[in-house]
Amino acid sequence: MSSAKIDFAQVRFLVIDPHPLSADLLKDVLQMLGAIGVVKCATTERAIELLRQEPFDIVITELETAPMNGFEFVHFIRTSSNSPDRLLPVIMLTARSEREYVAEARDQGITEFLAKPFTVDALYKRLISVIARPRQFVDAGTYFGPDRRRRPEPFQGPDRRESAPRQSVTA
Amino acid sequence: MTGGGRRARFISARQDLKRKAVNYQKGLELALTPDLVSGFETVVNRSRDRFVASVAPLLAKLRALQTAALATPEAAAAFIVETQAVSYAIKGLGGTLGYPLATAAAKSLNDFVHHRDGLDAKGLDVIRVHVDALYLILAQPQAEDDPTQRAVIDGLFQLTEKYG
Repeated sequence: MSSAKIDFAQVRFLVIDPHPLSADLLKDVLQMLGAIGVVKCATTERAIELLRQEPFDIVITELETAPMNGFEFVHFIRTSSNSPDRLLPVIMLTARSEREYVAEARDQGITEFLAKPFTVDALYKRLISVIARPRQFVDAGTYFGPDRRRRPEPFQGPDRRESAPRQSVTA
Repeated sequence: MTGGGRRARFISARQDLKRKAVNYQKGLELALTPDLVSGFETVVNRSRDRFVASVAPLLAKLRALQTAALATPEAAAAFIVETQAVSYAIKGLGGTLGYPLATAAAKSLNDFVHHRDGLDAKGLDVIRVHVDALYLILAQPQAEDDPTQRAVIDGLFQLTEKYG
């Protein structure tokens, strides 16, 4: 019996990175995996324009971007009434990989985080996670984004999930 | 149950991307084999020359700017901004392209200039030493376990720690 495969030719990527070589390298890697639809841009302003013009399946963004940085960009995507798609998968690929940045990225609603310099294997695993194992979203008032509880760990805080109604709407 | 916050609302995971990209006929396996990973890494490493060709003029620009960096506060600010951008780019790219020591040296330099808005003679020396080290690293074959190269990187981090 054959196993599941990912056809990257079906996935449209938007890469946001102000450094040309970095953006080119990522585009090369995605194309090496089989992606055909890869668009890159240097600013978050252009990225939002592009997202309004055409559909993308996955955004891969640096943190150090302008005029919005990567956190502000994700915050806009997740919470703004002008967001082109609040559920859009966003992978943060950044050279700011210290713990506080990872935590902030998670709290802003990033789908996956990957530190630069990256390996193809690590990037591939993030892509598989986004494509083949999509996570439910949580709207908790102060947070809107992918469910941050991935592992079944005991949670010490108040449980506001127990009787929360499950919805199948798209935001 | 405790806590008075509003209840979380759940939105089911969207399946459209999975539906169109996951199949049983075409594409890459969910788990890449070591051979395939190694093949991909080899292809990526072929971009090494492009990396060196792209970074060398950036370092040259830093060297050109550093000669006048202490002349005025504006010159110092411009030099710092440029150093922040160049060190950040090298930090993020080097390791992917087979230059892990370039990433290490650039990280030390970026740690030094990140959040910095002024510069004195000592600070300029610290940056100059980092830029010289990056030139050397890019000109040498990479050997992460080379004790001399490792010592250079350790020295850079000590400089950043001491004067940063």
